[in-house]
Amino acid sequence: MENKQNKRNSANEFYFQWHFLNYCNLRCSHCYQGDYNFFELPFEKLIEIANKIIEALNKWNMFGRISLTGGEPFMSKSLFALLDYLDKQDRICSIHILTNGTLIDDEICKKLLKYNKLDEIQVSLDGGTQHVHDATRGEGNFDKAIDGIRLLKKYNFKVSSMFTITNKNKNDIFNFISLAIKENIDYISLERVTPCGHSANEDIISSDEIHRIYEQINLEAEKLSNEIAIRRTRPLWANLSKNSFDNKVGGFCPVGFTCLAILCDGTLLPCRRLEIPIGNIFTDGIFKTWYSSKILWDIRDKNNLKGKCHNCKNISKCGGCRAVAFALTNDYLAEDPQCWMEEQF
Amino acid sequence: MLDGRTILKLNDDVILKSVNNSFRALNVNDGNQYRLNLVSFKMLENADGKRNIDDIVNELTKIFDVEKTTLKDDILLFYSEALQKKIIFLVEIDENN
Repeated sequence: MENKQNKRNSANEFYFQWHFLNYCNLRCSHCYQGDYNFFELPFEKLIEIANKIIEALNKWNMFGRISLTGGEPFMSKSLFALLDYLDKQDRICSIHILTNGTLIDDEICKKLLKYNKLDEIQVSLDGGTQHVHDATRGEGNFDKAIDGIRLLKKYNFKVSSMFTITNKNKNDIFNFISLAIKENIDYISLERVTPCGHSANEDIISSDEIHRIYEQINLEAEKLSNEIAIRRTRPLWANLSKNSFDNKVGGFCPVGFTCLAILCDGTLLPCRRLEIPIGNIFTDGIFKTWYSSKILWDIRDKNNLKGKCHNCKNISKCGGCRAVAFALTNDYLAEDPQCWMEEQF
Repeated sequence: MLDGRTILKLNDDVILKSVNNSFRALNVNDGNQYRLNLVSFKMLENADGKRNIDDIVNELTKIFDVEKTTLKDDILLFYSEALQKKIIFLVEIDENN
């Protein structure tokens, strides 16, 4: 009988996406956040959450990657104090900030320089051109985001960008990739929208079209691999991997295994896009939630996956997106409705 | 000291889970998690606070191909360790009843 660490993740890392406030200066049309009721916990309560994260990592002998986001994290009055605290923790190995980029200035960049573990700042871009980005994120915000990216690059931060693919911006994908190269962005991700929060069903792209778009992105990723890293490790990308040893393309969703999302009031979700509360970090704690949530246990057992996901040859590198399945079918174990693979028997 | 008449009960904070042939005991309070094999999983599953160790040995010899004496030695050793780790607790028996 041994008390062993979770062996699933060979790197012994656990990912927390922490939406530590829901203040935001933008109202993006596809935002998964349902409201913006100007909620931010007092700093002492944020530290309480941080300590619960560290306690869990200690117990599991794992190291934490934390993405701090909101809302808009640079609107927080506690961000830098929280970074001060997290940066000193041995169990935290990596900190990312996920931002809309519009509030970044020289003063912020200089303050961020001191954090050794802050190894990536992700700026969301939903278009490669001003009018497409601003159609989702509001007028004037493309220029502000690009200014923010340029400042971050000036201070030598690693910058990534996330492009959420919707019907509004699907024709601007290659402009986005070109822009990312031009702006020296280090990594980009292009992922389909999950229809939750403000995202309407008309944002959803058909399975056939997602297939075509992902194939085109995949070709570009290989062609441009010396110029930019295009991340393709979320569900469905495995359908395009050349073989089972291709580690660059495809990846089993870590939901239920090595990730948790924490909302600004302490609510715990399996993933930010899978909007089923499984506990609260203050009242239930991480251990009780992680060990006893029926939803997490359902997801952990691959045999529970339904439809074409159940017998899929790519299951070890995909498993489908549980959040998209839930959003479109109300069943988090359903097959990924946007998967283009034929059902296998 | 444990013997065949001892009654044990799984800690209320401990959850037993088996998924994909992986067996675990998970303490929701202190976070400890223990990887088990099928036999030790069944030993804990049967620690219901009602049956004594001899009853459980009889039960498990119906499932596993093992001599009773061997299984009893194993179960006493395993339960002793599980007691120390507070995965199970002793149930007090009222000797007057």
